[in-house]
Amino acid sequence: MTEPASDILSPNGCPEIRAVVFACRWCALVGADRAGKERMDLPASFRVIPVECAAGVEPDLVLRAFAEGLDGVAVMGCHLGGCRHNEANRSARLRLMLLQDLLEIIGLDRRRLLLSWGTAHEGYQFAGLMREFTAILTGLPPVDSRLLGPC
Amino acid sequence: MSGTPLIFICTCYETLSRTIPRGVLRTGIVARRPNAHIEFVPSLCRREDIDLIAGLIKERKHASVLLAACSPFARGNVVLDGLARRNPAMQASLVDVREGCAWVHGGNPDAAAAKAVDLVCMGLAGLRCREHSSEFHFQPVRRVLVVGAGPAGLAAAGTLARLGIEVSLAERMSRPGGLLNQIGRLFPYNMPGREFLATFLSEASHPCVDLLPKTSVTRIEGDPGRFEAHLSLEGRDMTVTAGAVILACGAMPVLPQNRFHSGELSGVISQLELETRLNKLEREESAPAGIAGAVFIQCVDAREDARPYCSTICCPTALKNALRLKNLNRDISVTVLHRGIMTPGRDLEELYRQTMASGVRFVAFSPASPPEVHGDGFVSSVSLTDALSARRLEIAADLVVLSTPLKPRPETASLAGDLGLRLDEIGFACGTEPMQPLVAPTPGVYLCGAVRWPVSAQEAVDQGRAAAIKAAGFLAQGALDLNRLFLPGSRRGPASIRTEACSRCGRCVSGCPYGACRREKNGPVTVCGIRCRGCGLCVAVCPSGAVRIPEQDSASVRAMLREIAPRPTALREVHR
Repeated sequence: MTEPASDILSPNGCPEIRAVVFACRWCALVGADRAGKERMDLPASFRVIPVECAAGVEPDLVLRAFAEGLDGVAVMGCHLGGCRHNEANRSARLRLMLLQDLLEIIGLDRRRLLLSWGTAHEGYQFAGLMREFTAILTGLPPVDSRLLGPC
Repeated sequence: MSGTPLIFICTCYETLSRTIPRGVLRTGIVARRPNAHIEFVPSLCRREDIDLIAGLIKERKHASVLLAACSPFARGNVVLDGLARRNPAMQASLVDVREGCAWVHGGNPDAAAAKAVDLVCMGLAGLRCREHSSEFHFQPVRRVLVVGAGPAGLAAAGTLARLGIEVSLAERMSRPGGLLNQIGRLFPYNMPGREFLATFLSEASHPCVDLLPKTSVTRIEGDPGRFEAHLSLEGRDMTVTAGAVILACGAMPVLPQNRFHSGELSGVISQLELETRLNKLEREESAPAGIAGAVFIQCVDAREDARPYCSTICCPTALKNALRLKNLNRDISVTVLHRGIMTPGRDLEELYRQTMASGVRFVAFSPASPPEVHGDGFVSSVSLTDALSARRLEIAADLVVLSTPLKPRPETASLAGDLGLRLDEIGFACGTEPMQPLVAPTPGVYLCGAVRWPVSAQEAVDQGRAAAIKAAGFLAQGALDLNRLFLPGSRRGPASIRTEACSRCGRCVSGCPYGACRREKNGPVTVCGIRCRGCGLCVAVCPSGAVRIPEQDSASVRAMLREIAPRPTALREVHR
C-alpha cells in the first residue's frame, strides 16, 4: 500500500508539496525561464514538463498525476486569442475547466488544478503564480491517492 | 550499443555546483539509477564541447543522451541542434537544471538538489519512451496560385516570377489592377495610379505568370504542396494544381446608402465618385464647374455600431482628394468634417500638413451629433456642432463627399473555409497573428493586401512581395525532417494514429486546429503529416488513446510523473 504524501517531510518539517507544471513552450516556459534569469527565489515544489501546446495535455494525465500522489497540477498556455496553434487553447480551457468540476465531484479541491491562460509569460508572473499555488496546496489536506484507485 | 543513456551535466563553469554540489547530484541520481553513466562537464554550448560530447557518445556507443544544462531558450536548444546535426539518428533530450532549478531555488540548496535529481530522472524516463518521427519527404508542386490581381496579387506574382516560380494569377475582372483601376492619384506621393499600376503589370507580364482574367476560384482542395484549385473561367471549369496559395482578393468599398441624403440630393456623392470626377477633370485639364464649396464627411458607415472598425485609408484618401480639388481651383472652399484624422507615419503626416497649408478647413464632430445635410433637390449647406468649440456651424456647400470604408469581399469567407483561415468578427482574413500576420495556419497558404485589412496600394504591394517570398521559401523545401519543417525548436513530429485502437469517433477530426486529422468515408482516421504541427490536441481528445506524438507521448509523460511522485524508495524500485 502506498504511503500518503504527508509522510515525506521536507527538512523544515512541513509536508513537502509536489506539483507538476505543464508549460506551453511558447508562453509559460518562457516565463519560467525568465524567472530563472532574474534569480527569483521560488518554492521548490514544482517540476516543469514542457509541452508544445496546453491543448496537448490529456485530462488523463492530470488524473494520473493525482493518482501518483502529487498535490497539484498546473496547466499553463497562451492567452486566449494568442494561441500559437490556431485557438487550440480555447478547447483546452473548456476541457480542463470541466475536469476541475470532476475533481470536486471525486473529492479533490478544484484549486489543485491551476489553469493559466497567458498569465505566466513574464518571470514575475510565473513566480507569483507558483508562490500562490504552493501556498494554496500547503493549506489543503494531503491527497488521498486511493480516491483515484490504483495506477 | 548501450541502451542506457549517457548523462551530461553541465556545471556551467561551476556556477551550478555552487548551489548543487556535484557529489550530491551524483549520489542522488545513482541512488535511483544505479547504472547511470554520468559525466560532468564545465560547459556544453561551445562548438568544441558539442564536438567533444558527440565524439564521446560515439566512442562509448550510447544510443541516447540526456543533457542536464540550462534552459532551452538560453543555450539548450543550440546544443540539441548541434548534436542533431552531428548525429541525426541519436535520441537527445534536455532538462533545465540551471534557470529552472539552481537559479530559482538558490535560497534552498537541499530542495534544489532534490529537484535536480528529480528532473534528471524525469528526463531519463522520458527518453526511454521517446521515438523519432520518420523522415518526411515533401515534394511540393512548383507553382503558386495567386487569387486576385490587384496591387498585392500583381506584386506577389511578379516577385515569384523573378524567382523562377510558375504562377497562376486568377482575376475576377476582365483586366488586372483591382480597385487601383479606379484611382487616379495615390497618396501620399500623389503618384498617378496608372503609372503605379503599369510598374507592377510589367513585372507580372513574365513568361512564368499565367494571368487568368474573368476567372473566379470556386473551390480549393488538397493538401499543402499540392492544392487543387477549381476555377471557373467564364463558366468554363478548369483545375490548377499549385504547391502554395496566396490569397490577395482584396476588399470592396461600401457605398453610402441613404446616408446624408445620398441618392436624394444631387451633389451628395461618395469618395469613389469624386475620384472618378477628379480623374476626368485632370485628364481634360479643366476646372470643376459650379462648385464653390465642398464638404467632406469622414467615417460614414464606419466606426459605428454596425461597422465598428476604422478602414485606415479614408482619411489619407480624403486629404489627397481635398488637395486635388484645391489644386484644380484655389477658390473652392474645402472643409473636412472628421472624428479624428488618422494619418500615421512620416509621409501621411506630411500630407496632412500640406493639406492644412493649402487652406483646407478641418472641423471635428462628435458621433452623437452628426452633421446634417440641407438642400432642396440640390445640396445647399451642411450644419453641425463643432466638437471642440461647441459652436453651431453652417457651411455653404454644393458638393458633399462621403468617405466610406472598405468591407470584406463575399468570396473571402468561402476561400477562407477551404484554406483553413480564420476570419475576424468583421470578415477580414487573419494570419497567425501576432507572430506571422501574412502566414495562414495552414502551411503553404499566405495572405496579403486588403483581404486582411484595408491598406494603401503601397502597403498592399509590400505585403504581396513579402507573401511571395514566404511562399517561395515554402516551395524551396524538399525532403526534410518534418521536425524542422515548420516550427524550428518544436522537435516534434506529426501525430500518428494506431488504426487498430481507433474507434473512429472523429473527435480529433473536428478538434484539429489545422485540419490535419481526417477520415475517409467509413475508413480509418489518418493524419496529414504536412498539416500537423504537433500541438497534441488530438492526443488529448482521443478517448481510446490511439493517437500519439512519437517525441513526447503519454507513456513518457506518465513515466515522468512517476519520477516526481513522493513515494518511498522501495516502491520506486518496483516502478523502474
